[in-house]
Amino acid sequence: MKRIGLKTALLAMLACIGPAMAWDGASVRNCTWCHGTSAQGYTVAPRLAGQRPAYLESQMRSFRDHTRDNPFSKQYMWGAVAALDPRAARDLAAYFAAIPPKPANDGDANLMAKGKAIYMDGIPEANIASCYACHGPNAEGVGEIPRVGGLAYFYVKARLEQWGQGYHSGIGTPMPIVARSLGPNEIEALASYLSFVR
Amino acid sequence: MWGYCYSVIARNGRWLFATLALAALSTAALMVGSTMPAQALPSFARQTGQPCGTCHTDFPALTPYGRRFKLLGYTAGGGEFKTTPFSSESGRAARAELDKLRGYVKALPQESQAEADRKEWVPPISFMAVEGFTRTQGPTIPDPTEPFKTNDNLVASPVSVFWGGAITDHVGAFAQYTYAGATPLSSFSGTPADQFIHSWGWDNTDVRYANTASAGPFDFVFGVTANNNPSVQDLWNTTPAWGFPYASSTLAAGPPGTMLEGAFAAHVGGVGLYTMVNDLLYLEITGYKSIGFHALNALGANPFDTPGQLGNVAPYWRAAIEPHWGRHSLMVGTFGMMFDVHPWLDTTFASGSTAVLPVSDKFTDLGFDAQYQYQGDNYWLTFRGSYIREFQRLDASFAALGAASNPANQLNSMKLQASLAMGADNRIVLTGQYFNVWGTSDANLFGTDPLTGTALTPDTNGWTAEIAYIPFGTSKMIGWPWFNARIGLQYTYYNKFNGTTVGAHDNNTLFLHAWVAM
Repeated sequence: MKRIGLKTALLAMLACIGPAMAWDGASVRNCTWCHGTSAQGYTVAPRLAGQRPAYLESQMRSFRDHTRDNPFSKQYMWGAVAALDPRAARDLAAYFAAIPPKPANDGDANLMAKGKAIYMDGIPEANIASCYACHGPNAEGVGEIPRVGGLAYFYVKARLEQWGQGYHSGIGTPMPIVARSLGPNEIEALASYLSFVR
Repeated sequence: MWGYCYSVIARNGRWLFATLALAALSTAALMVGSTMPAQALPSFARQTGQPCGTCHTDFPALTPYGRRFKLLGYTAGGGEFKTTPFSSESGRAARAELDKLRGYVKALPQESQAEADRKEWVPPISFMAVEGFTRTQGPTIPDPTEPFKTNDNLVASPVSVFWGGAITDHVGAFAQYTYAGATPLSSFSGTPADQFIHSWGWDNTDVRYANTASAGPFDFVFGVTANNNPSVQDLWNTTPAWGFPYASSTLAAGPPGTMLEGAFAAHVGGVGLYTMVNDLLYLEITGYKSIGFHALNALGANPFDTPGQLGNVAPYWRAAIEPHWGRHSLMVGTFGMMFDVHPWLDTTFASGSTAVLPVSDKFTDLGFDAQYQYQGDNYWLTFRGSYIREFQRLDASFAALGAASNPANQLNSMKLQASLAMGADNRIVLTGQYFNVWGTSDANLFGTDPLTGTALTPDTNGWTAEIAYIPFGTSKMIGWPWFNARIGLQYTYYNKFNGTTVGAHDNNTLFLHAWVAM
């Protein structure tokens, strides 16, 4: 029992110095728990690092209002933001936006050229709009338009497919209409290309 | 705080009380068996605001997020309740300073103290009960069977109370306290193997400190674990403490196992360091020491349940690499432990001695494991495999006690498993596992074949198949959102049992169980 007491004391000491060592406060950890230690994305949870703060905030609002309704959003994010107040959401968005993003580099490298062509110019004859027009030359986004460069292949592909399947995002986003014209091959190419964009 | 708890309970009304009373009465009315690891904690769901299915494919098996929750020391929150009873204002101030250094001056989450205090804190307590019906092909229990029947027994085992959740922003605990009662060889049966007649005792316990840091291109999660069962702290369900079957009959005989497979569970204390680098590479080293005879009794554990006392600090190690991409995650790892076991001098306790032999048996367990997990839209597919090779040097058992015929033996234990958890709520889980234990023949340890007279081996192999139903995966029950259950039908088929195929099928076991957590 004496030894257990010593261990408890050791843990208590560590707990006291813990906060001084921390850079991931409790509220940040509630996000990095799933989005990865430095918020670069983890399994199906997308990268938050370097994302546009206004976009992050608008998405948290959409989860809260249940307007972003794809299955994983519903399963994980509706509950995750239910008890998050708007001020904390804004601060978290600013925090994650300040972390330098790393590209996922997990797409098919052979599709990069095709993906880049669609991204930059669209396919006018197939009524596919250029992504560049809104998301910018380096896919960095602006305002509520997200940075899509470097996002994981799985995530971009799933989002583009889901808009085509009728799932919603925030209010007023043109993506459901834009994504409707994309075929599976175009989605593959775009998701692959974007995963490599720095 | 208790006032708040009471108001929650009052709001949820009579139904809750009826359920609690029913669970308590039904478990008390029946004999209660020993300790199988069996956990999925409602208090974790309360803390995080997430349903069971975020962390569990089929509890207690973990998803990638369940593994990260454990890695982060059970401290992640996000639910409607306060994560810890303590203010974390000092933590935020310290972080603000460090963030300034990191250049995040304008990017600080500044949740106001008033906002943090708005949430209530509820003690992270959970309950669990497993009730199981066991039918074996031959007789389950040899005479005298009291208080059981020869076969077709219904037993509640185990019943546990948990403390599971954050204690401070960086310290969390999973601590289980279990009511363990009747087995064929327990004080309740009149042929006690537990001379000290324990009923409640400590069970799986893991207290952690966890934190994160970054240095150049590397992100670290690092921490300290203090626990009482080698591998209870592990993140994957391929290591022994959390391996399949998650619930099994406490009456039917099972396959033999290596030292690492539970021989010292709840009889040792260990402190270890771990880290996860770039969400990819996990490394851990933990040292275990035996807990003293009297301390074990005080904790409710029968000291003689172990093969002996550890002479030195027993090192446990773990390394695993877990690449993950989109819906896929893969893990390849190794783990192991070295035991220096001094056998008890007199496990009958007739002499009243608590001494151990001065000489010891030395066991080196070397394990390899792998897991592949796929998250479908509405299902989880998991493949798991583990192999443990145990090198035994039996200086005490062979030379001093004469309990073994060989000075050195080997024991191998392999498990190969596939599991499919289908559906969001009303989840159906199909699990199949091939198990194979084989080792050196030893007449003193395993006896001799009655027909040929040759020394027997520990060789035991067969299959376990289970179909389980879990009502809540992605949503929560109305009224008491932290309730869940696992109703399972499990069949274990033996090709070979304790070195022989003769009568092996008599051990085939059907185990129907209802596992309730709230």
